[in-house]
Amino acid sequence: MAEGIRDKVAIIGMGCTRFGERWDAGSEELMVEAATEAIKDAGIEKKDIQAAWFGSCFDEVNVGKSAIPLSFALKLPFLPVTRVENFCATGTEALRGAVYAVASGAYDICLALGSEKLKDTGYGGLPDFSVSLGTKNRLIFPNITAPGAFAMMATRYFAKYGLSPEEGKEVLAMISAKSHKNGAKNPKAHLRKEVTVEQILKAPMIAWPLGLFDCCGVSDGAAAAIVCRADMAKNFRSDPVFVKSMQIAISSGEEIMYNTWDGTYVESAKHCADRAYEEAGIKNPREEISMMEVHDCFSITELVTYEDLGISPRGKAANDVRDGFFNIDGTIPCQADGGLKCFGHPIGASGLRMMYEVYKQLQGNAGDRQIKDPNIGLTHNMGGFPPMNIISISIVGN
Amino acid sequence: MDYKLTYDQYQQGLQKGKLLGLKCNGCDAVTFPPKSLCRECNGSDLSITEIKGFGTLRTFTVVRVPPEGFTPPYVVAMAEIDEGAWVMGNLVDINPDDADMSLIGKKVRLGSQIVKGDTYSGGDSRVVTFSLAAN
Ligand SMILES: [Zn+2]
Repeated sequence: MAEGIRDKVAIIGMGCTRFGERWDAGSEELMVEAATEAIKDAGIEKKDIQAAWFGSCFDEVNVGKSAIPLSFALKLPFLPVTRVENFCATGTEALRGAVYAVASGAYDICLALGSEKLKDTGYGGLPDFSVSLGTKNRLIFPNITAPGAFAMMATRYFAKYGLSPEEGKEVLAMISAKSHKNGAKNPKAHLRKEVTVEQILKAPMIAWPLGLFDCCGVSDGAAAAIVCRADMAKNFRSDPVFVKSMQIAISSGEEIMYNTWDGTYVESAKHCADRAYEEAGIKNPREEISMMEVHDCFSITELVTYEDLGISPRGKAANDVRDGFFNIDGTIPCQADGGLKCFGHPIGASGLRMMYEVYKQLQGNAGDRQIKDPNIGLTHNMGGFPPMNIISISIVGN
Repeated sequence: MDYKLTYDQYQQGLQKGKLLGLKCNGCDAVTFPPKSLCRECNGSDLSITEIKGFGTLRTFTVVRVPPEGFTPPYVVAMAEIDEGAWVMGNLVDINPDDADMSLIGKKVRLGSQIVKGDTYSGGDSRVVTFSLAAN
């Protein structure tokens, strides 16, 4: 009987670059910056790393395909390096590779690193992804944009739960305003300004009903983790963070091509959350989870994720938003670091950036964003569109 | 493997105004657009079927910032076709500025339009569109 990975692996070091318009750095410099911080934080030397996992998505954008970019950037001594890609869940996929490799007993210490240089495309959104969708682009997704695909989830959500567009947009605006408030305090975030609900509601429309502030930024950045065998972790530091579960669930195509899905939630997120909670031994997530970093590529994504993760009841997440349940001083702070909203979304890096915040918070090292005594943190990293996606959930604790 | 309905046949169908999908001989479910395995029961015993071409609009957005190469604004919608599947496409024959929540639940008729080819698509192709149908 397979027993999963609970408490077999610990995170002993992490690094994260400042995210933003990093015209001062190439992809190599970002990788070096993140890895150097992680290695120093773990108190190891580069030669202690036995294998590495590298995540990047839009590989052509000044990074390059394969595992070579990471090995070259860090001058890894002919190590086994694996390059992974799973759309916007790529960063967590790199961490999952490293964690599973240690859990398997194949290695004692591994590196996971994700990096992306999106600003170099010169385009405001994601660069042309018609090739990356394959024939599905012509069979299923004509001229849709990422904001458009998620906007349709908002429209459907408003319709199903009887929210007027004005009411719905106000709830979404509260989600973005909360993240901006947190991000303003974070020196590593890209967008560091508080914005009001009123400003958000007045912003230009990107894909109705989503306006500019309902969308995350486009940024450059890299983040990294050093993981090791759980039983070795305290040799490196007194406060390692233990991996309780790492699960991933992929759409089967049933969502869009059949009518059991109603467009107001993400089907694979439910499957992934069930498996993650089971592996971590969590019975009641609303009571047991201390903090979350979720994939807020768009405000509506964060709203339905509250429900998909079983934190808010179906159709009721708006009440929790209005009650401040997810605020930094709320019951389950969400996006304490500012989220994708303020960091932007350098695709390969985002999942590891989420874990960086959880790791710092669990260790009590989050500065003036520090949450009071968190002990279980969750990251939710999503790739793709509501009807066709990858959901990756990690739960860690101290 | 026996491909019941090739991409090429599907495209030629659209050109002639026919919406070709696959009906499962095991469970009767209709898979549209075509896939090698039934979306309902995973069966591979499928027959070509013609979609009647009507559906109910379930959701939409008005894209104001398009991908490179497209001119905004335009409406993208999802409709549940009478045969069951959810389909995505542009809602045409409507002024995007007039799109509002009253669209949800409206009957639509399926058609198709040409999209430009990209690097690997082997030239232009047709994608599904919707227009409002008289109720
Ligand atoms: Zn079937």
